Amino acid sequence: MCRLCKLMASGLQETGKMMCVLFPLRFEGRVVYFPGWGVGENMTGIGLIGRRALLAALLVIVPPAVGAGTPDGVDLLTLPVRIDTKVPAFLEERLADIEKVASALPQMDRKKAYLITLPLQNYLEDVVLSDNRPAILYPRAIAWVIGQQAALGTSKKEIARLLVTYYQRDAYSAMHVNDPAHGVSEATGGRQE
Amino acid sequence: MNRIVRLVVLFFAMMPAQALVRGADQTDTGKDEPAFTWGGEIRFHGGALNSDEGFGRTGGSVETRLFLDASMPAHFKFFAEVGSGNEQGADDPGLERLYVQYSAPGAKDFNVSAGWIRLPFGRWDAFTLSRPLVKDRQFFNDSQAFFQLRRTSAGVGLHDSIGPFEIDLAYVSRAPTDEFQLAQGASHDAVGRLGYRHAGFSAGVSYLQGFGDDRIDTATASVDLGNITSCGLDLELSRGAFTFGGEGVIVDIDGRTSRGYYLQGSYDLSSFARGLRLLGKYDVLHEDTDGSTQLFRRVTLGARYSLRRDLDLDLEIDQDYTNHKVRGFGGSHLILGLRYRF
Repeated sequence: MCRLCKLMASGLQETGKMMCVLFPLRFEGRVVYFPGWGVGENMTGIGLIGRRALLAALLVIVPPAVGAGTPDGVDLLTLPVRIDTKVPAFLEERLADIEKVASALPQMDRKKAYLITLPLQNYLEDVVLSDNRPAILYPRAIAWVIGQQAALGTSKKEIARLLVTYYQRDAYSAMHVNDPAHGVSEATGGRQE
Repeated sequence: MNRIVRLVVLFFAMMPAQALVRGADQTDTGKDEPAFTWGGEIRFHGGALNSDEGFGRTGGSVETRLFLDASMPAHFKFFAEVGSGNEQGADDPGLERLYVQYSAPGAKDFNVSAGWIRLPFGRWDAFTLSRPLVKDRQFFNDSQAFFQLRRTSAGVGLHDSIGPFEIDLAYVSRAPTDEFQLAQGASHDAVGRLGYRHAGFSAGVSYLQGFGDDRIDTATASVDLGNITSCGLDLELSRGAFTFGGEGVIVDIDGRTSRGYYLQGSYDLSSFARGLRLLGKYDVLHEDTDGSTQLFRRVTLGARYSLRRDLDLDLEIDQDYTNHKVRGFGGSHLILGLRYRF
């Protein structure tokens, strides 16, 4: 990581007011994450970019973040932050929506996203709904986890398994992606924040 | 410009943009639910169906469910789950849930429900098609059904949670739900459950106390149905693809004690075949009658496969064991099920 990035990461993270940019930036064909929501190891690519270009890019990216769009037209903010339901069919529709959005994320495609949430759905229907508990979904956080894991090269089966594990540990509710004011945080790996 | 100046410029450039984002998303940080949702499902069952009331029924050959969830003004909510089946019994699909719920503003998870609500006693449906014996049994039925840990009853309920702890209380009528009316003078039950839920683990203790003055004379004794108590313990652990749980229940009907428990588990085999999971249940019921204690046991193994997101195929085998031959229990059952949701 270049010194500028380190400085920005430390300074802006401490303020807790870092701008939320929902998707990794692509520089020179490499996936690069901004400090605070991405994977630090991949940030070495930023060092290849001139500092002026970085500043310019950030300033350009910030306004589009209002709509949270990406160059591919993917928009996580079209997904609701939270839904809770006891209606199985409604639950399935929402999970299908998540897959639709996730399919347009970097390193994802329709085939990889198709039914990636099925194990989560089965868990919710077999275990949660049958216990007279509502299924509480955080669609934005789920889609974000799919996108981040796909960018890390995680297999579809492993992502599907992670989605269930994160739900069981109530990790989605604590993710900063649910709060646009705080931006997108790293996946907690199941830890409560 | 040196590096510090650039950062200062960047910081001040971000501030208005951030304010814009916050302003734009101010309404987007809470729950985002439509005001009205509905859905339904239809289930087909075939094979050796066990449709005798009180012995862990699988239901009839066709069952339907219709769900309706509607937000109402002033933090009220209406929820209904109604259905039909050709094995309509005292506790069959029909009126599953129908209530109005009030959620206290500002409270995270506090609500009051009134209508036909689920009894907050342990957990309800098993993972398998057949239901737990201790939850399906209509106790003391040498001549007629006296008491059952029903799924649904008319009454009022309260739910609250503080951190990992949750509490449910309810006061309900004991009238069966196939009668869409409140019987005058029927016995009532006060039910409560105190639970702990954290990171895929849940545990709870439940208690039921009967009220009323319903004395029924059997062939050998007189039974006061107002003098009913029941307590239960439920546990569940979910770790990734694996879920294991169970429930133990003791029912005391005017001095006659019955007890039962079941253990159940499911394992998601999606890594092997997408949408496939294995299910298992071991069910035991000791029932104290006017004569001897009767023992019923059932072993259930099953598999559920999602053909599509909205279409499930079930295959289940039940093997019954008992020391007391009764109609509707014994032998083995092979059951096929198909469930479609819309």
